[in-house]
Amino acid sequence: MAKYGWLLDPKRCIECRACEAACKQWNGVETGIGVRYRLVHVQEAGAFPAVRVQALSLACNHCDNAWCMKVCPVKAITRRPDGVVLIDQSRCVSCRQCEKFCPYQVPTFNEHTRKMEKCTMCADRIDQGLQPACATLCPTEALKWGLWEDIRSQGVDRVAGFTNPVYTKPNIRFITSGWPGK
Amino acid sequence: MTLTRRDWFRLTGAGAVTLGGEKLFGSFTDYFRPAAEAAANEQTLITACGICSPACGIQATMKDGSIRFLQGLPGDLSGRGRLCGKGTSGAQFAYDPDRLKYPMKRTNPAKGLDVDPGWVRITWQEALDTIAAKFGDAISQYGAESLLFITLASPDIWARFMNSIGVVNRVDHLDECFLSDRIIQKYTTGGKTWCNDFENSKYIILFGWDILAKTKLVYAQGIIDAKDRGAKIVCFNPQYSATARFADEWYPIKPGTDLAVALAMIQVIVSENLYNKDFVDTYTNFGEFEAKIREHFQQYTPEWAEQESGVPAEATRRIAREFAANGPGIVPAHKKTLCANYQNGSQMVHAISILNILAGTIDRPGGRYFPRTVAIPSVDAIYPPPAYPPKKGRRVDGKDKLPLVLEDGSGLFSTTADGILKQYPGMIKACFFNAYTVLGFPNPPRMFEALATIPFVAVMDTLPTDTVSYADIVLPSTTYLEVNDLVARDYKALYPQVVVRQALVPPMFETKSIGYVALELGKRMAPDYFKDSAGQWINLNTLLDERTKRAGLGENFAEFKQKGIFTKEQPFTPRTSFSVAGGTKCQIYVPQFAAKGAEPLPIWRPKRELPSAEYPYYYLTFIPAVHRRNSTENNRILHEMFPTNAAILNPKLASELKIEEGQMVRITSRVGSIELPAHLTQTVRPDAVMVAHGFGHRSRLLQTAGGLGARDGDVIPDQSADEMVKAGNFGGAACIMDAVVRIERV
Amino acid sequence: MIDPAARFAFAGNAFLKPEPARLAELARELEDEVLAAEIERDPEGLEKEYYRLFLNPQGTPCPPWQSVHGEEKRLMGESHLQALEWFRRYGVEPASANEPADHIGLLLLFYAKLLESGAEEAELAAFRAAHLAWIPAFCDSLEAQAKHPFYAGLARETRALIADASGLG
Repeated sequence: MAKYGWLLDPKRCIECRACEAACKQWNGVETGIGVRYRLVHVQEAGAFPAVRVQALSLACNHCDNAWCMKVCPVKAITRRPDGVVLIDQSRCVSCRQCEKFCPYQVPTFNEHTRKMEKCTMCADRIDQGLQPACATLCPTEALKWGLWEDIRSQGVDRVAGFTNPVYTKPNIRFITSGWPGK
Repeated sequence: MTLTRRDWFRLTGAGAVTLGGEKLFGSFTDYFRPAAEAAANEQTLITACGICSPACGIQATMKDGSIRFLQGLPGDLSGRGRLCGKGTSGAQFAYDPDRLKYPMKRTNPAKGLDVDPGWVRITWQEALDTIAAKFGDAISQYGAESLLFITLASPDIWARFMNSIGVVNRVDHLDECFLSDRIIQKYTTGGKTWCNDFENSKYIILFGWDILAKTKLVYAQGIIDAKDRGAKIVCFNPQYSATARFADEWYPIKPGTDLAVALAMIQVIVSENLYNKDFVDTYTNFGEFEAKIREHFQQYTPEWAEQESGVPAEATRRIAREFAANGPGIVPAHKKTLCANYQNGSQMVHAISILNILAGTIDRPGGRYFPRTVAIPSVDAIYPPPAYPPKKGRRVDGKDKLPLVLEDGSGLFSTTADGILKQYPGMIKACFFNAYTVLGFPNPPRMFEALATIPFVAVMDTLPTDTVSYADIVLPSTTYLEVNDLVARDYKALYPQVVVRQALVPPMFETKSIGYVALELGKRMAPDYFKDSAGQWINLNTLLDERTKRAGLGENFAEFKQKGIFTKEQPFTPRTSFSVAGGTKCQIYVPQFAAKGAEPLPIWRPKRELPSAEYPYYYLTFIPAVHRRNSTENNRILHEMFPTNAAILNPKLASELKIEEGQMVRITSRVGSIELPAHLTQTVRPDAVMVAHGFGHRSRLLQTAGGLGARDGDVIPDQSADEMVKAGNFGGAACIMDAVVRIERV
Repeated sequence: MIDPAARFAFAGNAFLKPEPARLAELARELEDEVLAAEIERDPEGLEKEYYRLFLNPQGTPCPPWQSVHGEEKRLMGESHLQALEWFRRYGVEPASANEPADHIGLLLLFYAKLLESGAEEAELAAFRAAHLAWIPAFCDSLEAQAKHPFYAGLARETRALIADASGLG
């Protein structure tokens, strides 16, 4: 079982994108070429005025059954003992199979380095006893990171707009209960 | 490959293969020097963000003298140890390759948006000498009224400089922000406050303000706390905004008609006697003017309000009753939204003030309260100046026609162009433009026109702005990451807290702060005002040490910045006496207004521009959550999130106009026209178009934001002071969103 | 003079400051009278062009700092830190503490000094790879944008110098 996972409470998200900014800043991800490790996906449904909007901050789910790992022909993608899934750019041959097979469109091709990149769960920060950059900044507790054994029993395993977790077993849960009622 | 450490002298001594070239190789020592001791590797410094006024505390991770990572400061009341996307990306501002670096002057006298100014670098000495000379000449030849300062009045030493030379014409963006609220609150509750105790509120009514999308964390976290504690939130906004998502009830109200709903709510609360009797009877002038008040609001029924606004009468009535019964209730008024959006902004903030008074939450938990803060002495308190010269001259912005605005220190952006071009042509001879761009004005083309008539313009900023095209002298400014200051919390201040702002890096290139400019211009133009008690020039570092010491924060600034944060938890004692217009009670009916061109009670007035055959649609603007006014578009991290603007349309309207997603669209009003691609969404009213503010500016030379987007303001009419008087806009609302347009495919 | 070290030093100086009188002097040290004459033909124009290209307060067409052309596209990025490290290994640092260390002029001048001091080829190659390899593309952009022949010429010369040093001449 993975050691860590994400806990998302979309109703608390204010779309400030501190999570995206923190990721970019910490990991030095190149800007302007479409490489985004973490992205706030905003989805709307319904018709005015009965419209609904949901904001999901998503990155790599470091799935238990990561398809990216399975399809990589050169074993450039590996899993650490704590479950963090990493791409080794020095082995990547840019076949882009991982990009095709990830149900969450996570591995991204960097047109400058010609390699695949994705969220590392800030493994370097975890190793220092810190949280990933994104969770360190989220100001509303919409995005949390923690021990999977604590998270897995909370919330539900999917929401609208998130591919069925049955395939790859992503380490993420969603809180869908509403605000304290009246 | 290991390289051994070389000796400095090896490099400066004669090499093996030199064939002459003394000067060529000698130049090495012009640009290099012996290396100092190895710089501290990793370091954590505390500072305060400077992108928006709540100034969230920052914990900065530094690596080898560079900013590595910014995160929030634990224990901080603002941000609570977190930052928003803008704050997190702060390093990009300091390290923007386009940032202004050295003072420059133009050598080509011809000015225009597409004219090469022929910049050459000058020293700060020359820049300041030139400005002082030009300003001095203008004053002696034409009087102080010939100077125009487009700047905020802070820091206080900058205000001191302007006061010391008798500046008459200073304008700032506050008419587009909270000016009307500040003006009215002076007469209703005793003063404007930023402190909204959302956390303890049980009923929050938000007119227009997309509070969560502004990502002022202090407010967002307060609202979310309120939700966690079961509070009810009602949101009126023509757009299903980020805030609307958090609301329990959302009404897509007709733009500019929130005033009707607010008046009707007062009517319900007053006529049904639902107001907080204890508070109203004890602490307000309701009793004194009761008959007038009851009579006045009778006409503003929820049924009438439904006609104007589209909000069902049943809802308005019920919400009013709930607000009164299920408190503490709060109706915040803030900045651009509704204080300044429409011509009825003044009436709106008066109505909002009355609602808060009726709820009995003025300086009470769950309501708008006055900050409990540490008094940080001003420069005038530490080094008392000689009496300032009287401000003699004509107001280019016409604020003298608005008695209540005249009482306020602010000036009006929205009437400045008209003042320069029409009311007082040729009066302004010299201008200092600080940290603003022409994009910040309604109808920027008219403001460019006005700027072009000013013979001498000095521009100070961190980034290249469109204004630079008209500058004679450009001064490079420090960012908030390169300056020292003390920040007393005033957005969340049930008890005092002060956070340090310290330079994370020394000012880059030759950037300086506006405080430095104030002092240096002061030395040249008004030396008597810039000496300390010993007759020496005021020293900015000593000033900061004095402030720190007198505020009780430490022996000096260096000591305080080690701690970084000072908090004094103390019980909150609600006021029982309010300092209002010479009395001690809150005022619902404001008798003083009658003599000052305003109504004692808010009356209904429509917005300025109403849909017509020629301009059938409402024009709405907003600032994206990841941007700040018009100064962040070049930040690469933020730019990637929101690179340019679009014409945001409801699919129903789009299909009527035969417009598809991404298609170029022209938006035209009575003053101008812009073109941008359409973006369709169900979240906006089908009789409106929304455009993000802050784009369509800046030189095409800018690395990231150059040439992108359209200027939302080109479509928004500016105004004259006479217009404001005629319209009963006594609080000086800039009508920053008050436009109607037609829309067509390009 | 065809000593590449001297020519690198000239290029470094030309990118660092637009002082026409001094540049003309330096050109004469290179025994390049034609270059000196060009500099002296229109010294004011040359100075203005320098500011227009490299320090323009309306936005910088040719930002002369390496990290702006790297991944981060900003000042004080990785290449600044790495350049600082190179300099410190030799016991030096830029005279201006609050400006990026990866300014093209500083990098070229430092390389000139390495050459002049007889640094080993392996070392030179390492520095070229880390801090000069970005310059040819920068020179392409500079050549295209320069309105004054001196800077177009500087772009061509610098590009050729680096190609030559890399053995690609």
